[in-house]
Amino acid sequence: MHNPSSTPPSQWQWVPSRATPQAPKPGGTAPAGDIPELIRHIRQIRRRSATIAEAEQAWVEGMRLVNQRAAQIPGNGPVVNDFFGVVGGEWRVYVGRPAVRGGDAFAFAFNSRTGAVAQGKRSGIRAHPTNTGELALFNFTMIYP
Amino acid sequence: MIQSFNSDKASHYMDAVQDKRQRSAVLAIHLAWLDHFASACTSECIEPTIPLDLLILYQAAAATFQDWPPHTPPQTGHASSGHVINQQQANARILSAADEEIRLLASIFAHQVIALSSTATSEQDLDYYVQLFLKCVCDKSVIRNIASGAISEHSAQLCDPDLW
Repeated sequence: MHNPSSTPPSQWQWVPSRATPQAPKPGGTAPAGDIPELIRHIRQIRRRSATIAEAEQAWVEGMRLVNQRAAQIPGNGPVVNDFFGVVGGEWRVYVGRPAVRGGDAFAFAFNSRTGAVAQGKRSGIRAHPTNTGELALFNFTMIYP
Repeated sequence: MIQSFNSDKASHYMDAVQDKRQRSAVLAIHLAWLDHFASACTSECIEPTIPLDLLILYQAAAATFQDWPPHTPPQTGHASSGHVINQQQANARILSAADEEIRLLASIFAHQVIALSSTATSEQDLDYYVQLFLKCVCDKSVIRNIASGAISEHSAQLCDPDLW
């Protein structure tokens, strides 16, 4: 199985356009603009022939960098990118942690079979409508293709 | 593996609930169930003895928070018309909760599950529903976030990735 954390940085690594991290938007902890830029980067590198595994690696490393940049802002909380698991046998899903206790969080998913990339929410990870005991993604938006 | 059914109807229901407090309750119980599902291989996992009806789970959570502040449920009522098992264990579990507000809410929730189960196609494990509900609200800030509608409001803001 592909393990992004054990792979060295690649040519597809995200480099933030802003050297200095911006203050987070109210309710967020990520430097403003960083994650939208990282998502655009993931879309671009998939278009430029990065494999889905390479794109996932760029995401994991990019989110680690976003967390490091977030830590430069005094009093700011972490930016978490937990690996949720494999949904539907093919979507490798990462999730944030809820800013509101008991609440929702972002989710970002890589399809290891089709190469698609999608974003959504944790609440969009639901029971599969027909396959009992399995999960499926609902209301996710395609980032690529 | 945690077995469930009515997932399609439950998913539609989750998307259709408009009231902020009820929507917050549905999201919170769903996310508690999802945490549970994801940890299905760990020792902390609790499993229903029979498949869980997700539509009942979501509807019961929404109904529990329909009126706020909550009203004390009747001591008797739906008990005989419900289609549940493990009711005594569920009652004991509710009574063992240390916090009065949590006991009240769990009691309302259990009454809702019993009422909704009366038309269910199969029996429901009430004790599992109650365990899931107690896990969901054991942090009282979750109750406040449901009551205020904050969970629903925050979820709606999550179209902006800056709020990851």
